[in-house]
Amino acid sequence: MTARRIVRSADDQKMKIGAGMHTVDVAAGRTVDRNRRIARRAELIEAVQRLDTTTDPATAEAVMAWVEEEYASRCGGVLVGLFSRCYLGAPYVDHRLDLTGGRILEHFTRDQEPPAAYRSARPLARSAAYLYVEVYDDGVVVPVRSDGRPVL
Amino acid sequence: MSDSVRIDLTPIVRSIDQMGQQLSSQVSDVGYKVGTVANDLTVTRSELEQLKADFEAFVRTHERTRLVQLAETRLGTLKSDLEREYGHYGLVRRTSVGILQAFDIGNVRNQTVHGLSEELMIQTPKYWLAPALVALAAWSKDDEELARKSVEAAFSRDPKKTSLFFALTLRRQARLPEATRWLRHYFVSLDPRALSREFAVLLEAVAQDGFGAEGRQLVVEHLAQWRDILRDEPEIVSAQVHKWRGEILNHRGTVDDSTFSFLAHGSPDWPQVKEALEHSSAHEFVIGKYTGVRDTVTGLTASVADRLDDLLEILVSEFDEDELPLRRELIFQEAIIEHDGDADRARAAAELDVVALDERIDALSLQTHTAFRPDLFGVSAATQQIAVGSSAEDFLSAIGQFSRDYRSTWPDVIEIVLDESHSSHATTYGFGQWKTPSSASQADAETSLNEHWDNTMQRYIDAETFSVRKVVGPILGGVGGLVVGVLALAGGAVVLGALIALLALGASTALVLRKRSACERAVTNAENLRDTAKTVSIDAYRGVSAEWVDARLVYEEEDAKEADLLELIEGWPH
Repeated sequence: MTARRIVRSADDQKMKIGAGMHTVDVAAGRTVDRNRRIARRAELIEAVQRLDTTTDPATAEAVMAWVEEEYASRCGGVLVGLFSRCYLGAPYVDHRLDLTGGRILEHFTRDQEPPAAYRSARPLARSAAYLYVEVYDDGVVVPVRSDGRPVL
Repeated sequence: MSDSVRIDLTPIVRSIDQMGQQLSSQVSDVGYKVGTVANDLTVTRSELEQLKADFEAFVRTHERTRLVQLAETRLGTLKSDLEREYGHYGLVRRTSVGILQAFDIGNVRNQTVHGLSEELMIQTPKYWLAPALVALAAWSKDDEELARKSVEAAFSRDPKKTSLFFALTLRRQARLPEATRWLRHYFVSLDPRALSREFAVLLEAVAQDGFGAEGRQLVVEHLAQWRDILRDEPEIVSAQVHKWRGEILNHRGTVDDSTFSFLAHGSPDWPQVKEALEHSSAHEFVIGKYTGVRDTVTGLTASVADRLDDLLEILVSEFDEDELPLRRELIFQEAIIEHDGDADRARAAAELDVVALDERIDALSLQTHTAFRPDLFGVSAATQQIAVGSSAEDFLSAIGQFSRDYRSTWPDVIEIVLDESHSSHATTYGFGQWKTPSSASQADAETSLNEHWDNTMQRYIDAETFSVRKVVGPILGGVGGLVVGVLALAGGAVVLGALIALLALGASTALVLRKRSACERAVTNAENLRDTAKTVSIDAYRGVSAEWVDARLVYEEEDAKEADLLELIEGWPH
């Protein structure tokens, strides 16, 4: 029943392959969604905050690696990166921690446009209500409050 | 006699001079009038624009007033339709509780009760409550056969309401095991995905402790079980969050363009800013409503019988499906009046509420709607309080999503645009359009605006400065006249030739001089007004800029109230 309902909205080709596969897809999708809704641990929040203040490249690299691993173990979907306000001061206003091609921490000025995947995260990162914004490879953008609760 | 002819041209020259002066004065007069007309035209254009804006505002207000009046009329008609078509149910409804109270006191004869219920049975065909009353009367005089037959009749008309009615009645008469049996019977017939509206009475019964400990446990167990089943379906959960978002959205305020008049006219981003401002204002209104709900005192009335009477009254008066179409229409008309004729908002609000009047509703939705509008189910504030608590998770998600969505549209920088309509000087001198991002410093923006005005004025002055091209017509006319005059002279028509030549020369010179002085005047005017025009535009720019700062402050203040709303719902008493 559940599988049929989902198949209707997916493409026909997939439907022919068989309903069983979709049951798995749907179940996996729900698990990812459920995991994504779980509040972020205080340690993770602290690590993300530390990224902005760490000046030593080796420490920053270690923190980024830890953050990446933490997200992988959450099983909440493939993370493209994090986007947040930047406290470096002028001219920088925000930065991204990109996890797709190695770990890159890149700062942006107001006039610089961040890469396409992060554009919708930018106005959210400006809001004082969120500590940072997660960008997933399925296009979902999740703002995270400073107490670790995601907005979904 | 001398051959030479002396011609005294003095009078001719004089009269040409006079004609020249006259012409000059007439041309000057025409020039003045053209100037006045041009000025009048500018004034007229700006007045016309104002008139258009006023007229459009009037049409909007008029349309809204008309809709409100229409809604009031329709509301009256609908209420009388309801009364006419279903008013006779009222008698049966009142009688049912009356009979039970009469049993308590014991001051009415069985015969009277029996007669009355039989009469109602005949008067209200198809209505489930009438045979239920006959059953009560039969029960009171121990006529088992009649009681059974009547219960069956009521049950066949509406099994769910009949089950609930007897569960409540038996509980009222302290027949607890039988009451619980009817309650179980009722639950067996229910599908948590498609409850009928009378289920709200059960929620109310839990709030009012109507079924005693055993009954309460039965209801709470079923509710918890259904909740687990339904919450496992993301579609149902997201539908609840969607409803809550609708509830929050319905509470957003309205920002009038006149409160940010510079910004409304001076930025193409205004509609986006206005919408986000209105959305952010919803938090405070929602806090207001739900603080009121939380703080409503809902103590239980002492007597179980009284509480059950209230429940029975709700059951018999609120949930008859025949009335639903009329009640749905009633909701829409009420929404139009409530939203002051704003048809779009009224429709959105009514669409949200009208679901509460659906014939079938899932258990979670029923709870959600009870939290918004308990009056639509006829239940009390106590039930509403419980419903809000049960829906807290969805309410919190909805607040998060609602805020996230408007925050994602709030611009960091807006574009400030001054066009020709921002001042009459801009219209007169062909200002075109000037724009700047709000992030530019005031000094930079004003320098750029001054430069734009300098360019505008320069273009105007260049266009208005006297040049030969502007007087090609009069010169050619003069030369033509001169040629004709000379030809006439050569042809022997001395007097006529000289006259034509002089006339042409004089008129042409006068026109050229006239044009030159008009051009000089226009240029001088432009130069004199340059500073005034700049000041007006700079004031307009500063106005937009200052209102943008105000808008941001208002937004930040309203936006920050999300935290208070979250706190209110997180701390909702359970």
